Amino acid sequence: MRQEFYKLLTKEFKTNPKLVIVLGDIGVHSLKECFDHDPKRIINIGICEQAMIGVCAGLADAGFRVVVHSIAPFVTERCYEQLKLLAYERKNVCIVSVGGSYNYAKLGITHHCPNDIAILSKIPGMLVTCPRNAIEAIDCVTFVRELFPGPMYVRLEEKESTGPFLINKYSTNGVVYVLGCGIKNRERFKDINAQIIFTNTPSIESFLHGLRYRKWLDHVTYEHRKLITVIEPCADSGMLSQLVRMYRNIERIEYIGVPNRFIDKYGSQDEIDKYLNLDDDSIYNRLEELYGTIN
Amino acid sequence: MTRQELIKHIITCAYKNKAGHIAPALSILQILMTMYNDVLKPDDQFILSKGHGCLALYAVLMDKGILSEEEFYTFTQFESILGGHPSSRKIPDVKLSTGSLGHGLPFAVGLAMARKINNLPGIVYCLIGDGEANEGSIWEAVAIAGHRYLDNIVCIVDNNKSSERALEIDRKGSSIADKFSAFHWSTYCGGDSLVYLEPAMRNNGTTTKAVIIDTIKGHGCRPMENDPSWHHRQPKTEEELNQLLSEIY
Repeated sequence: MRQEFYKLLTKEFKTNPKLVIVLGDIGVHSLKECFDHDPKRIINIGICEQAMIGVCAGLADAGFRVVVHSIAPFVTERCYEQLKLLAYERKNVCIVSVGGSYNYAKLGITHHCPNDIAILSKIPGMLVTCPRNAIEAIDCVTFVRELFPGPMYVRLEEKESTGPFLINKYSTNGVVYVLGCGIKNRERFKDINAQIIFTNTPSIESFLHGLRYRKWLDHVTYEHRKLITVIEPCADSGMLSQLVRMYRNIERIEYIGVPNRFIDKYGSQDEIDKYLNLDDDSIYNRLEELYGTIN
Repeated sequence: MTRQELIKHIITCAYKNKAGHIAPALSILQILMTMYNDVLKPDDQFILSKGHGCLALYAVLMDKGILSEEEFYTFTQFESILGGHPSSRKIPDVKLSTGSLGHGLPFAVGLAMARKINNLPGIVYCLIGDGEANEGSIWEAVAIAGHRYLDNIVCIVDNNKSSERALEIDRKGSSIADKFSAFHWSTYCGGDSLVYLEPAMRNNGTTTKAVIIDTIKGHGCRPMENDPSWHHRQPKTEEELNQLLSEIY
């Protein structure tokens, strides 16, 4: 997904003279074509994330559409106050991270970042997205930000999620709300007796959801007042509390996500998924317990 | 208005509204007067990174007719556009909301880099404090600008040495100027009088420049000078106010 995103970003860079890319010393080799095309507009700023966000604010102030890119903990937690100011100043900066949650499982907790979505969602005016593939990610960098002036967070997952970002099927048993790559193989869940919504924004009041799903979700939750389950590839993004605030008639709510504790294991991302019961099999079993299956 | 008249307004305004960092404002007042009266040209931009000195900025903007006296005296009131730290959302002449330290210089570097990309003229000036230079983000920005040989940015350091109480940045054998020089900046250092610093502040577009000005916290009002207790307090009584106003020089 990351390499595919770089290709699409390179294409956008070549056609959009207003786009400036700022790198926190990653992606330099993969974006070499951009350096060759216009070295003034792509800047490897170095390893200095706090100043990096401030520099991006200055570039955006001059009218550039800035994409800043680094590893999730460094471009979110390390420079959180700078991001707050970026949102207050309504600067058009798109923060693209890689390595969210525990994509870099082998590198240990300094490189884990399950809280990125949770903390960025708390900044007023910050649009937070979790695209499921490179095409959705480049859409965020291009047309979504045209409609949403101000900073935007795009969390690139290591692996793509399949299928369109749409509803699985109709059922009255309840709703499973899946953020980004919370489920890796959508097809695996076809027989769960619940409506499954795949989305790429943790804020159900925010732009993408509001445009496509709000009315539908209103209908389902109001009419059936059933069980709602939220699945996220991160720590609690705040979606649970939003749902409770919006739909007070929900009978029961469940949560499947990264627990609020340090992950003291290494290995692969899949191994950590399994360790935390966030692999597709574990999620399937949990949903089967909650909703049952068709046939 | 004279510097003495502006000091009078600053102290009186802080007294009336029971708010404001008077001594830090007086520390930078002369610098801001020079900036707005003699240095800034239409293509230039100015960022006040040490936002807590904003009473001096507001006073100078009042002097320039950008703010009315009536607006100036609404400082920190509920509906005022003038907060205890300046907000870009409220004051058109303020480019960046500051207050939390260490944000202004990185932003100024971004503005300067944007000018380079667009081949635009003009200099970006950023005023920081020596205490603010405790912040790592300041030195990140200094490293970025030095590395990229940005010749369209000038960092002015209000070196009032009040940070000696915390982390001392300017010390014998390793001055602030030395630290900027280590990152390939040209440095100009001087006393409170800006007479000979003014030419240095007029960047001639040859190198990244830092102008380190030795100032006095509370400068211009004798009882406040170098008294740390005046960092963030205001006169408590009319009598104390009048006594302070009588000590302005």
